[in-house]
Amino acid sequence: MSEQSTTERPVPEAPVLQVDGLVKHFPIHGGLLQRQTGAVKAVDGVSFSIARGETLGLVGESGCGKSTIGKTVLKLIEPTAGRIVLAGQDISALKPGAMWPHRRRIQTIFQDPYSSMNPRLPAGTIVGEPLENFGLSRGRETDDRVAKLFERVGLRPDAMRKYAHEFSGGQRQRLGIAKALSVNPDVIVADEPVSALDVSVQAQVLNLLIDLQEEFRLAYLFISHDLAVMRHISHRIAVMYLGRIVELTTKRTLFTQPLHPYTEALLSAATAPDPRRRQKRKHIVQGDVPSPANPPPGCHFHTRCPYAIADCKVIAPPLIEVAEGHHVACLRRPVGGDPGPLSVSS
Amino acid sequence: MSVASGNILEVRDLQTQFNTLDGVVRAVDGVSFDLARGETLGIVGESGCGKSVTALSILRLIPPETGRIAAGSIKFEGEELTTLGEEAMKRLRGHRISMIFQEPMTSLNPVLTVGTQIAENVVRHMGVPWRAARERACEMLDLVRIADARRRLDEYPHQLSGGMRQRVMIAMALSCDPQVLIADEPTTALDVTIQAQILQLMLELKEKTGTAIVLITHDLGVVAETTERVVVMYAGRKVEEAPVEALFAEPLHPYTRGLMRAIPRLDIEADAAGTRPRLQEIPGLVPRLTQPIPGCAFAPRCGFATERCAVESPPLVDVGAGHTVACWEVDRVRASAI
Amino acid sequence: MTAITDDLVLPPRRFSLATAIRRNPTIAFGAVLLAALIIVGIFAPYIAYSDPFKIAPVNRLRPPSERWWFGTDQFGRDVFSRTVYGARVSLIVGLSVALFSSAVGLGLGLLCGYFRKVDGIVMRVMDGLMAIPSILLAIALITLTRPSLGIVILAIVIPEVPRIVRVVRAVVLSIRSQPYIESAIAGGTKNTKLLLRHVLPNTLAPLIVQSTYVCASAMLIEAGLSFLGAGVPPEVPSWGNIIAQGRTFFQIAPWTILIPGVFLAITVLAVNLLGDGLRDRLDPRLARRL
Repeated sequence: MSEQSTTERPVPEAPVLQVDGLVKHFPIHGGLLQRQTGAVKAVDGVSFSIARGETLGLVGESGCGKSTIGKTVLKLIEPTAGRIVLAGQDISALKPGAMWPHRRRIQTIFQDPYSSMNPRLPAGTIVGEPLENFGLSRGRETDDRVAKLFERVGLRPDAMRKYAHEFSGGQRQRLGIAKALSVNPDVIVADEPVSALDVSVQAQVLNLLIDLQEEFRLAYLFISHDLAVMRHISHRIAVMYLGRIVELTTKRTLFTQPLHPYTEALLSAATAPDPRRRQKRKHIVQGDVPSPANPPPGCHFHTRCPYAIADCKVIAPPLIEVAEGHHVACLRRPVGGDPGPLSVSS
Repeated sequence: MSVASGNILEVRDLQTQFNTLDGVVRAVDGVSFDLARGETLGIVGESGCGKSVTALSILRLIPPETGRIAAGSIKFEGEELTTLGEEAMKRLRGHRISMIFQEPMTSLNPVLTVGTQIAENVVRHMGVPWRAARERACEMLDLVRIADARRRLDEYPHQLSGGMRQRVMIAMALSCDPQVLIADEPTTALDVTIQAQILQLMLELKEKTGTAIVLITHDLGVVAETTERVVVMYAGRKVEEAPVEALFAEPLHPYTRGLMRAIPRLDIEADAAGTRPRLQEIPGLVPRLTQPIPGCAFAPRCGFATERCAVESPPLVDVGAGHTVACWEVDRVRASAI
Repeated sequence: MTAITDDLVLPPRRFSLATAIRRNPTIAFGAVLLAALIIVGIFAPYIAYSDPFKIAPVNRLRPPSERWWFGTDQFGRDVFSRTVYGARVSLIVGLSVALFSSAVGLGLGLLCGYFRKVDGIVMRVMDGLMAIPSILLAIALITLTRPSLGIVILAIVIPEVPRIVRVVRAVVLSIRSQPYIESAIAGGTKNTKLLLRHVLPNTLAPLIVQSTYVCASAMLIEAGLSFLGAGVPPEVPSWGNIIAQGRTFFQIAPWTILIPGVFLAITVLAVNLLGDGLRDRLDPRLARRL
């Protein structure tokens, strides 16, 4: 790895995105009259904040709720409970009409470069749409701005007339980034933006995202299942399991001193391009990820946790700050406790 | 003779082509490799490099309306597969050479129980009565560590999780004791922790059954942790082959190096608090496979490329210890920092 | 500054009529046949060599000959001229029904697919409409007013609308959850623009295919209605009418039934071929295969 980009965490100021106690339940209907028989607790009380110029990584496996959080924060889905404060404004309860002007401040990039662009519209129109929607420019001026955006993300401006299927996956992702950038948002929610890309293209897009963040002081909510990508792009990382955040801390701390057993499991399970790691692999956690419609009681992870004790089955551990800037939700990790490895319970 | 030399599969100069609206696509353009008995070979490359097509070619699963094996030979235990009749191929598939795919949900029949699907395969190839086949299916589910196997026999694919379904696929693939198992991106669609379980399972099974495995993936991490030898493909060609430790210790092809540098690493402790070093990009795009590529396919994106590289295609050269690479500038690459 | 990445992946393909015809024989055949019939219909006054309404009992039931290419019916009217004029009626009915039902169906389908509240009520109404057979509806309407082309068209449109609504609604439902729709919403696109610019264009392909089937179906229904006497007025030449009137003399003058029947069959075939060809061509999964 060659050059290093600008380093430090940004100076603390009021967070540009603040989420408190976010809850999202999807009702399950059943029976003859389609009554509500249960709920999928996709997001079960999540709180975090992101500062300008910072990337918060949201990592977890399928069913953990990370994508749902992304969509809820964007108000593409209405939250069941909780507060979302965007640039000082509480948007949680806003109806679609009232939400509309705030959408300028929070944009999104999706995972699938193939279905996230309308196949029937020219690329320039897609990228320029937010500008026209918010009345920031029209006609010729929009075209000029779009051309500049194209260049900024590394595409030729004359590609504006082309259609989505004429671009490669990586190029489409750049188009998505250009579109998100067009209205100068404060926050960008990136939901698995590089997961569907080849490794060599992934690197290009990640580098682009980092450059843009530094240039425009964007806040990223970066959602991914890939820990290695997280490590690369995040400042802080939140690990999620079945709708709850189980660990939240700076990137460095997460990788050097993980406290939650699930984080440990993820780190241990991740593959790395190093054949010598084969022998060093720690215990691989067994069992399947439980269904979010029927999560285990108490700590959701207790069914697969090698360190679980009796209380774990009953008490849902709250997310508490056990060391500075390090939050963990585990009964066996109290405040000021020993950060060393836990002992396997009998 | 391949049997005596311990190679169970020998692929020589395989060329597979497809007819598309844009012309003839040379998906596999002269690929050769061997698979020894009981060995785990990894074929790695990005999308469009031809790795999946190679696997499908071995089992003659290329749809005849659009594609065909244009040239080359595929010898399985000495028998030439490219000219084998379809009936003989059907007896081979699922029996002596098995394959598992990326998406277990679409590879399993949703209206049949998993027990039925496995037993069906056993009956077909081994000719045993149904009851015996079901016993075997139960044994296989145990083998792939599915708890409560007997009960699971009567479950439908949608009742199982992704990881379980992949285990069922593996069980089905191994049910007739194949000599070769081809696994095409078997863990790509699975969660990280489940992927780890499945890879661990595959290694264990390999020890137990002695099946040779061809593992196709784009994930260098999976290759590093699971395979013994690796073939790197680019634009339908093989660009490098080496034992896995050698490949990662000293990759010789510029593309392999580029890939390794472009991956965000979990294990490198080099970066200090809060820094975010740039990933080394590979500039440009994969070439279109509709035109024949005169020189080295990677030349337009290669930092070491010379004029010769653009016009002459480099042959695979053995640089010792089973490490072969197709590059004119190997010495310069070797001398430069990884 | 990020380096500019390489050129686009696909070069633009030039459109060639010859290749298009070679690749889509069904569409070509259906389109040409239909076009020929439409021309016959439009230029009927010039193609027909005699007045289709003129009665000349002295020439009744003549077989096809040099003077009367398709022979005459029991009133001495020239079957060829009547058949040629009959094309007008069938084509007008077919195309009008297709057009009106598509317009109404598109609007309703978009609303139903997008707004859940509207969906519940409107779909139940559609189910009700589908249960009404056009024939009974036509007869009922005719007894209230008088037989005319307009009534026939209305009677056929009403039960066909639900079919179109279903198709459009299905497409809208499947598109609604696509990431690019969410992306548009996040980018500040409001409902109207979303429906018109993002959803509607994607419904056009299946809509066009479905409307060709509606057209074919409408022509057959009109023929049936006219045959039963519940369609266009009896003196207006419609293939159904001609067949109805020729029914009594079928054994001695089969040409009065067979000829219009064959024309009807060919027209319906042409429209169906066009629809099938378009459906295959516009199916995104099949579109890029050779």
